[in-house]
Amino acid sequence: MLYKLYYLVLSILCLVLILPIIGIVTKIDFEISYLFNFFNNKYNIRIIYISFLQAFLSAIFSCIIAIPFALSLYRHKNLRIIKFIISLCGYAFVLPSILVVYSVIGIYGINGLLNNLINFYNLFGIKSLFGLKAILIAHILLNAPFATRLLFQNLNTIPKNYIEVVNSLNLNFWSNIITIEWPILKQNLFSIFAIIFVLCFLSFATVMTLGGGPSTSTMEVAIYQSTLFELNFNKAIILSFIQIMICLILLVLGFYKLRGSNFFEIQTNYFEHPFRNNYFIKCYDYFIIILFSLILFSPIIFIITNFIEIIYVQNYFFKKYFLEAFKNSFILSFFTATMVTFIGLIISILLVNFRSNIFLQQILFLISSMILIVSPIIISLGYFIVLGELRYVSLITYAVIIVINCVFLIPFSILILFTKLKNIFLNFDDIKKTFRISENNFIKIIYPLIRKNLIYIFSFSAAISFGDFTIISFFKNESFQTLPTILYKLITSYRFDEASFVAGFMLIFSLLIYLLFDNIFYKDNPVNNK
Amino acid sequence: MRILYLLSCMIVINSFTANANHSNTLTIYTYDSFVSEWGPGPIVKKNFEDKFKRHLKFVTVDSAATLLTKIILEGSSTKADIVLGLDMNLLDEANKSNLFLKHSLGHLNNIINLPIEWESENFIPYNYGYFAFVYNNKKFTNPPKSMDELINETDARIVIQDPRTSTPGLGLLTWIKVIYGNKAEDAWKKLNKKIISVTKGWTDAYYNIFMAGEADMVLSYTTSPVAHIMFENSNDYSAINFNEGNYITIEFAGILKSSNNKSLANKFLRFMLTEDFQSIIPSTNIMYPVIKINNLPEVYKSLEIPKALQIDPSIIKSNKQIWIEEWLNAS
Repeated sequence: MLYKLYYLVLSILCLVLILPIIGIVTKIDFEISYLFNFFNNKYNIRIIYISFLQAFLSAIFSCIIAIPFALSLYRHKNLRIIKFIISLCGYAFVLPSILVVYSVIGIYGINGLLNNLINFYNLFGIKSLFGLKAILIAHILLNAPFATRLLFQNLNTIPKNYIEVVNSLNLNFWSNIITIEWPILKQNLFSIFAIIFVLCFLSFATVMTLGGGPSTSTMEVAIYQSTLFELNFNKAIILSFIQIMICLILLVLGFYKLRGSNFFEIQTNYFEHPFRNNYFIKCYDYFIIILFSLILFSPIIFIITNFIEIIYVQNYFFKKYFLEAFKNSFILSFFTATMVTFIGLIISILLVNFRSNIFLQQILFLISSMILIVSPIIISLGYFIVLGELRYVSLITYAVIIVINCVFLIPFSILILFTKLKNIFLNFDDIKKTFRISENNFIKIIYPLIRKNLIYIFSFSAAISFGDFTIISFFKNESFQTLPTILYKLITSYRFDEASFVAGFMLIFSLLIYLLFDNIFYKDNPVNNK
Repeated sequence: MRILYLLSCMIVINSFTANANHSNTLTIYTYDSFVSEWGPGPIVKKNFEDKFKRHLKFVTVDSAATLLTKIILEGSSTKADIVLGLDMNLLDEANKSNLFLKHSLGHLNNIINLPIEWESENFIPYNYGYFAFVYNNKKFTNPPKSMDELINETDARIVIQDPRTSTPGLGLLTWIKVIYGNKAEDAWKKLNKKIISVTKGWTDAYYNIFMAGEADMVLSYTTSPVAHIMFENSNDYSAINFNEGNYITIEFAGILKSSNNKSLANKFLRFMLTEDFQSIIPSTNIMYPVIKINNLPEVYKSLEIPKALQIDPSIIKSNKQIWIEEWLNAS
């Protein structure tokens, strides 16, 4: 039964992945000399280097910032406000890139809020924001909160009896961090690093706008250019092949670590952190929490204040185009989120069940996260070619948009769900065997334990696809507008106030969906039940 | 579950109604902003449908360059009758694709009013404009009068678009080539010191960077200030006409050989050159109309017309890659 399901899922995933590649391959004629020319060009080498450098630095800094932040948050995890901050941490990651660019410039630019307050551009003799530093700021704002949230969840898996041991051994603050908390953080640190690295490596719009020029560019830009502007599929394939290889190595390493990490019993019992009431630590924690929240959530705060200023002046709510786009975005994100949650759960269950068969497990792991590292441009172009006449049927267009959105979110759902499921399975495996509980019933029984994670995946996917800007241009048509496409059109038509309104609305609505699902819908949180 | 079912039904019905009425429909592929609620599309559609009692359907992609890519990929299976929105940089490629039909309008140059002679046998122009650097005249008080001054003397933070991914970006590349020829690389080296960002498209450059006050000057069109006057009542923005001249950009439309609706398509091209179509252009697409129209908005009349610069499309096509390399080397 499980094997059947395994092969079914695997073949569907392969199909989703292979179809577009078939499409592209029918259009290329490959020459090996091209590969040599490519590597002989200094510029090409430079963008590979820059892609690598910015992704590496972004990932490192995000992780470094996330560790003290997560530790401080963890020490005060029983406070209500901390729960809210952790929620927001998940949200920052799903901010549409155009909004991030907009707010990075609006806050940290030469005419930005910060510079108007303290004039640091003159102080330090900075000429402009653009370049590597701007890319790093944007990527850290996007990814550090994400890393914080994952690390915080990891810390939450520290069992209560460990804390009792700490108390009875009278461990001091540092020994507690080194012997108890750090090993837990270390568990997934490299995986988080790898994921962030890959995301930054593939980052496109952000790098291009904030990079400041063609010398600070990435491979994704070159892929975009060669597919859409030169119809040079040979070049596009070579570029994306190199890109895939680099990302693949990291992902394999990252997930290998994820699989090979220590197992801890899962117990989210209520306890007080042994050091939360120490005066100095408390001051330090509050300082860190306030400072990092202000910095990391600055884009959200910035866009919301702008939005409030605009609706004060004029109300754009009831325009027909706006409601229409809103409806489409809503349907799209609802379907995507449902599918991602469902498929993510199935794949994670399979992954856990096949933990003794490392080969099969790794294959599924790789295939499902493979999709993340193939350029979205290549995938959508491939689908466009391979669909042939079918591309004119709008139902299929909807389906393809949802599938493309899904495949990019599934790796995250696995990341969120897998460790949790693994721990549960290890815990209850004996019981399952003793009572001969069938797989289906077992899932029903453990459902309350993973419900929180499933809802999180749902809210995460819904929010990200609601504000998604990568509705693939090939599949557009006049009647299908979403909020991101409306935003883009408003800007190209010089309607800047309305554009800020739509941007603000997108953010606030997706934030609301997100916070609603992430906070209110799980009341069975053991933390509250003491 | 029931909600899911209802939603899927809604989509199915939606998709059927969208595909109805095929035979009487003229399908036009164009770029996004042309058909947006604020672009010419909706009024053009209404005027055409009222006049000819036929349906008009727009299918959009996000830029002129992807427009041609889409048509070439679809080949003869395309549903498009007309492609509208290609520009001069794509002319040669469009001709070579062999997908377009010769138009049937004679003596075109007598009808239209372009600053240059129109030679293409396949395509018909519908609007034009000039690339220019736009600045905020309240904040930046000493604008350069020529490209030379901009490159050698002016102290400004400039944002431009990437010639590999955007039409104005490619426009600047050819503009500098017309003025500096073999010395273009040196000119770029000097200019690059003032360029703070090179964006993927016009949107990021204009909205995210220039309007945020991050740059003093942005590469855009001579007509951009018109939009600020018309939509925001703001006179704060000006475009510079350079002494050397400004590079011209012309947008055009053509009929596909594979079209099943050629006579209606030809009617559309003729309609395109009438007052019904042309008078919409200045206030919605923020470009100049290609015929003399009676109700040209007042603000246009106050604009000074620059000298038009241009390079032959076939030269652009064969040298584009080299020029881009040159530009990359200079950065």
